[in-house]
Parts: sequence; C-alpha cells; structure tokens
Amino acid sequence: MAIAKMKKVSLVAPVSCADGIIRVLQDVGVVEIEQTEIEPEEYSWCQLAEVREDLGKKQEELSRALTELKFCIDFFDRFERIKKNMIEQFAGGKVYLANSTFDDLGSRVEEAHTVYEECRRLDEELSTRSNEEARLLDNYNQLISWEWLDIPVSELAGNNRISIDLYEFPSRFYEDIVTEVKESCPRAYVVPGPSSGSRYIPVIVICLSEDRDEVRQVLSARSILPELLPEVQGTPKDAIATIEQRLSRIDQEVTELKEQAKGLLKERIKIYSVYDSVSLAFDRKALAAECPATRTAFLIEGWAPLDALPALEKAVQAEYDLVHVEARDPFENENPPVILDNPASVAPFEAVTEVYGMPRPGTLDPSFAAMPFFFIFFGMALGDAGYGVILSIVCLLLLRKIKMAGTAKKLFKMMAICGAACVLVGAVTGSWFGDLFGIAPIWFSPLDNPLLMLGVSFALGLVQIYVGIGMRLYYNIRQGNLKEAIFDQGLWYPFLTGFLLLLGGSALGNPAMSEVGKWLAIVGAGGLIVTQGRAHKNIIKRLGTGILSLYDLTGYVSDILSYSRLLALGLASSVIAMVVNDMAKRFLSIRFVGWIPMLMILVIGHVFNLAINVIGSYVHSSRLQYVEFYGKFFEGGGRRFRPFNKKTKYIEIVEEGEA
Amino acid sequence: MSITVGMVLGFFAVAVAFILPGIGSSIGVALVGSAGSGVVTEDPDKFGQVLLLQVIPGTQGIYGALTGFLLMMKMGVFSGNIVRLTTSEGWLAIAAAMPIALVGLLSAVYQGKVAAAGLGVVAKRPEELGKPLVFAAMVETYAVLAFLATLLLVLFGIEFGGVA
Repeated sequence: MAIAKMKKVSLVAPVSCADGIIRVLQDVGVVEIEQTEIEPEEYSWCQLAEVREDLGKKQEELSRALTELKFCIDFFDRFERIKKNMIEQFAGGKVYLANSTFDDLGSRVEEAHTVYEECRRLDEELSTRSNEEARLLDNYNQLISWEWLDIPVSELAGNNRISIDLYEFPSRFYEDIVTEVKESCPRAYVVPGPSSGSRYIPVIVICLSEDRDEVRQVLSARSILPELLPEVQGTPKDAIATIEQRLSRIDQEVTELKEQAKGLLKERIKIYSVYDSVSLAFDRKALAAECPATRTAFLIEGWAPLDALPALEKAVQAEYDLVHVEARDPFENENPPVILDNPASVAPFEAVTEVYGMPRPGTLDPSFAAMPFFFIFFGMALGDAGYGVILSIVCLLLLRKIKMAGTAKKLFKMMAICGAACVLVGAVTGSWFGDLFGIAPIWFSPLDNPLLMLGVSFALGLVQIYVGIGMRLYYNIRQGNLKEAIFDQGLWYPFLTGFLLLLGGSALGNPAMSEVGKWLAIVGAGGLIVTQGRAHKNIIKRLGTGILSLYDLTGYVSDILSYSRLLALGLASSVIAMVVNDMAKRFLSIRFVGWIPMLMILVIGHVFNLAINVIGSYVHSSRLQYVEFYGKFFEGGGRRFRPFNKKTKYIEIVEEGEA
Repeated sequence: MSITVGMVLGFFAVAVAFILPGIGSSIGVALVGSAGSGVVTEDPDKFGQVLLLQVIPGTQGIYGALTGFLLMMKMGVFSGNIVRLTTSEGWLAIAAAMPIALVGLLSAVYQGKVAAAGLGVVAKRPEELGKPLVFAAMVETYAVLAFLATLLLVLFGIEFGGVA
C-alpha cells in the first residue's frame, strides 16, 4: 500500500563500454534516465566532439533506415489493412514475438532494405500506371463525343487559309446560335454531328482564317469555347479503340503488380521487427548522445526503484567489470517518478488511481483504501448477479485472448474482480438478470424497499468519508504534523458523528440518541471554532475563521448525498432488465414459435443493458472515489515512472514460449 | 369506453418522459459523434475510445424511456386494460415525470458538449481517457439525481385507482 521507494542511480564506466552498458539498461528497463545538468564550463564533463559527430552520423543513418521501413509498413497497409478489434484499440494490439525470434528477425537489416527497394519499385510502377490511366481517361472523355467523326484528328488542325474549330452547342439554342454565326460571318459553315438526344450537339465550324476571331467572339459571348482534341493518331474512333486497349492492359498490369505486392506481405513481421529493433538502436544512440563523458569515462544518471537495484547491478556487472554503480536517496528538491507498489490482489485497483493521476512522491497511494469501496460501489451500481457473471467471464476471456499491458490490463482484471461484487450484490438483492428466474433475495430487494437501499448507500458513503478523513489524519501523523491531525481531521469525527446522530435521533424519535449527538456535536464544533482560526493572531479573526469553518459541514453532507446515485444506478439496471424480461415473456403467448422472439429480445435487451450500465457503473464508481474520497487527502502531482526500456511500436517482445 | 382527462394527462406524462430526455440525448450524442468523426479520420483505431465518450450523453434518453415504460405499466397499457385515471392522477403522473424530463433534456446537451471537448484528449493523449470520462460523469450526476426522484415518485408515490 504505498509508493515504491526510488533511488537516484549513477553509473560510471569506461567510454568503450558505453554501447554495451546502454543496451543492458534497455534490456533490464528499470531506470528512468534523468541526467544532472552539467554546466559547459566544467570542462572535465564535456561531450567529446569527435564522439558526438560520430553519434550524429550514426543517428542520421538510423533515422533514414526508419523512414525506409515506415515506407514499407505504409505500403503494406495499403494492400492489407490490419484491423484492430474494439479491445485491441484500447490495449494496443501488437504482434507478439519471443525474444530470440525478435533478435533474429530484427537483425536482418539488409533483407529489409531489399524489401524496401522492391516496395519502392512497385510503388513507382503503380503510380506510373495510375498517372497514365488518368491521362488516357482524360483523352477518352474528350474524344467520346467525336466518335462519329471519320476524319483523322491531325487533319482537323486547319491551315493558314482555313480554320476548323470544334464546338459543343447546347441543343436548346442550337438554331439561334447557328443563325447568329451565319449573321456575323456568312461564309462560315456549321456542320452538326449526330445529336443523339443529349443536351449538347457536337458541331464543326469551318471558316476562312480571317473570319475565325469573329466566329469565336460570337460564340464566346454565349460562353461556348472551342474544344481541343488530344493529339492522337487516326480518327477519334481509332484513337478510342487504342485507348480502350491500353486501359485494359494497364488494368492487367496493375493486377499483376498488386499480386507482387501481396506476395511481399509475408515479409511484414520481418519489417516490423527490423523497424522496432532499429528504433531501439536509435533510442540507445540518443541516450548515448546526451551522456556526459570525458576522454575515458562516461556517466549515466537516472531513477530506479529500490527493489530493482540488485538485478540492475547484477546485469551490468555480469558483462562489464569496470562499472561503478551508485544509488542514493532523492534530495529534498528532487521530484522522483512514481510507481504504485501493491500486493497482487490490490494491483488491479491501481487502475483507478492511474486514471486519476499519480500521487506526489512521499504522499499516500490511495489504491488500497479505494479497493473495497470501488468493489462494492461497482457491485451496487450494476446490481445484478447474472450481469456480474457475464462481466467476469468476458473480462477473463479477453485477458486470456488478448495480451495487454499497463493500465489496460489492470482495468480488465479489476472489472473481472468487480463482476464478483455484482454477483454478491445481485444475490443479496435477488436480481439474476432482473426477475427472469424469480430467485428470492437473500436480504431485500431495492424495488421493495428503496429507502433501505438508500440508507445502505449513505452508510457506505459515510464510512468512505470517515476513511478519507482518516487517511489525511494518518498522513499528517506520519509527517509529524500532530496539531493538524488532531485539529483539522480529528475534531471532525465528533462533530460530523454528533450532527448525524442528532438528525437520526430526531428522525427516529429516539431522544437518547439526539442527546448524545447534541453533546458530541457541541464538543466537536467548539473544538473546531477554537482551533480552525489558529493562523490568525487577532482573537476576533481567529474565532470568525473558526465559526466559518463549520460551514464545511455542508460539503460533507453533500458528499454523503452524492452516494444516492448508487441506488439510482442499481434501480435503473434492474428495472431495465425487468422491462426486457416483461416484453420478452409476452411473446410466449404466440403458439409454438413464441420462444424465438422471446430469446432474441432477452439476449439483445440484456446485452444492451449490460453494456450501457457497465460504463455507467465504472464511471460513477470512479467519480465517487475521485471527488468524495480522494478529495479528502490525495495530493497529486506525481509523474508516472517511464523507464528507459524496449519501447516498441509494432512488436511486443515476450519471454520464450509465450508468443 | 370513454376517455378521461386523466388518461390524456397520463399519456402526456409518458410522452414527455420519452420526448424531452430523448431529444437531449440525441443532441448530446450527435455533438460527440460529429466531432468524433474528425478524430477517427486521423486515426481509425480510436473508434472504440470515441464511441465510449459518445454513449455517455445517451443515458438520459434511457432514463426517460425507462420512466415512460414504468408509467405505462402503472397505467396498465401492457395488460390491455388501461386504468381510467382521474384528472388528479393524470397531473400526478406529469409531475412525477418532470424531474427526468427537464433535467434529462438539458443535462444531456451539456454532457454532450463536455464529452465532445474531451475528444481532444482522445486525439492527443489517448492514455488519459479516464479524465474526460469523469468530467462528463460530473454532468451526469444531476441527471442521475433527477432520475432517482422520478423513479421513487413513480414506483412508490403513484398508485392509480382510476375513476370508479
């Protein structure tokens, strides 16, 4: 139940071992690099110029290789997109390879380069084809309305005496246009083509060269411009036939090229491996470039959890003798990264905290304390045993089928555990897929006695708020702030308890309870009034602040009321389930086949209800932790531990035999 | 069978419970969906996360529908023997439906806005999806409370006797 203890690690070793040691660090993956800033004036720790230049060159080479490989990957994706299912979208969905397979495939840089050149060639050929296809289609579209013309296109050019222009006249105004042309230039010939019922009629206008401008002007006034035919051999009809022939050949060639590209897809895993292994090398070089070094030695500094130190030292010293590893506690002004460290049974619930944000180093990890509350609240919000069973089974199946890591894995484990809470709550309240089987509740049904359920919700909320105040109290004691612990947290217990007893006593008509509550509240309130203004010297200001602090009571009361959502969410899911059951059972009255629609409605209805309510239950249980619970004591501002490790994009490297 | 004013009012209560939160949820869901398409254009693999944000403003519509179904049950619509509500009973049904009808309508729209804004997180820092979800859940709180009020009123406050 804590935040793991972090040490600042310094590694000093000869420059000649730099590559190897950085590789070991990457393999072990337990150090988050954080180099101490070194002033350039301290000349003994300067980066050597020739080393830096060399590193720069190497980095450039690697990043060029990465660009090539990325090209291949994108090229492959064009031919066969890898579809990720809904869960993989959350969990990553990489390819799983055993360590040795990855190392083997990843080292085939030369082969990958050959694949790249092949991809490149195919890509170029394909784009040449598609350009040509576009050009041919363009020509085709221009020629198609002149197919009837049995003159070679080259003879339509005219000469210095005669001008031949091709136009398309709108059929509606055909007569008008022809008249206009004739009027302005009587020597022009207008030869219409077949109208074929379309909106335009192709027309050839033949006139003397000196009249050409006149004709064009008349027509352009009507926004009719001469058509320009592409330069092709023979008549338009012949040209069209040639184009069609060529197009079908291109089509064939493209199919062949695509086949070749698909043949390359078998290299995909190799390319992925090489990409990741090159990018790991790139990371190593990038780290090496920022290490301070002298002519003989270099230094790496970073954060590592205390538990991981022995393994780290062992791994480094197994391969290199001349390595000095030193670990120290963080300084006051340093901000080490945070790892939550809980027993395996609590670890899934770290997901709740991780989604919220990491606690500041040195403060409390709330995951352990939040676990029982999240568990039971989730159970109450979903509130159905049948749904709980399905939820657990689905989550466990997904965990087995899909490899996940980090927060996603914790989240699914947590959901699987919370399914048990639903079974628990469902059994207690007699809800198995709503009222489908008519199983009686062990305790009571919230539909029969919602006030009791409301009371249970409030009571659990009160417990959580007390625990929340207690967490802060514990933290203050641990920090040695005894005064804060007693005055700021301790006094709230009698005041809050007294106030609630007072309310409860008058509601239940129990004068003894009210009496106890009254005195408890007075003691608590008195203490708060006296102590809460202690920052002020002025006695009036001090008391004023003290009295105002009692106003925080409204905050606590509204916190408790907020837990009523548990009743509402629980009722919502069980009532929807009942409605589904009710609608489905009505179909049984249809003779013989009634069970078919009944089953369909049951399955669809319950799956829908489950899906919607799982999201709602998760979100609202989380909110109750974040606002009502964490708000009492949590100090955020920690940053997640991000070690220097094998950060891959496509391949998840796993132990032998797990792939 | 003659129709009473109470029955008309009762049907009106059902209609209001379906209509208003339904409208609110449609607007909310549409807001997130149309903005979410942009995120999915950039990275189709974010579909699941966007969908998660999109369904959140949809719950108000479900609360409303649920209220409507419960009222129908109480009025005996499903049993085919509709209770001939008195005028007061009709008004009672409307009053009971009001909390989720109005709060559902408005909160779904605002929740949609919050969720749509949360899409930025999905686009740039998908690992932080939990945070926009919680922001959206803050708005939902009031819909849940209103639904609680309606639910309690309908389930336990209303028993239709009808006109003798």
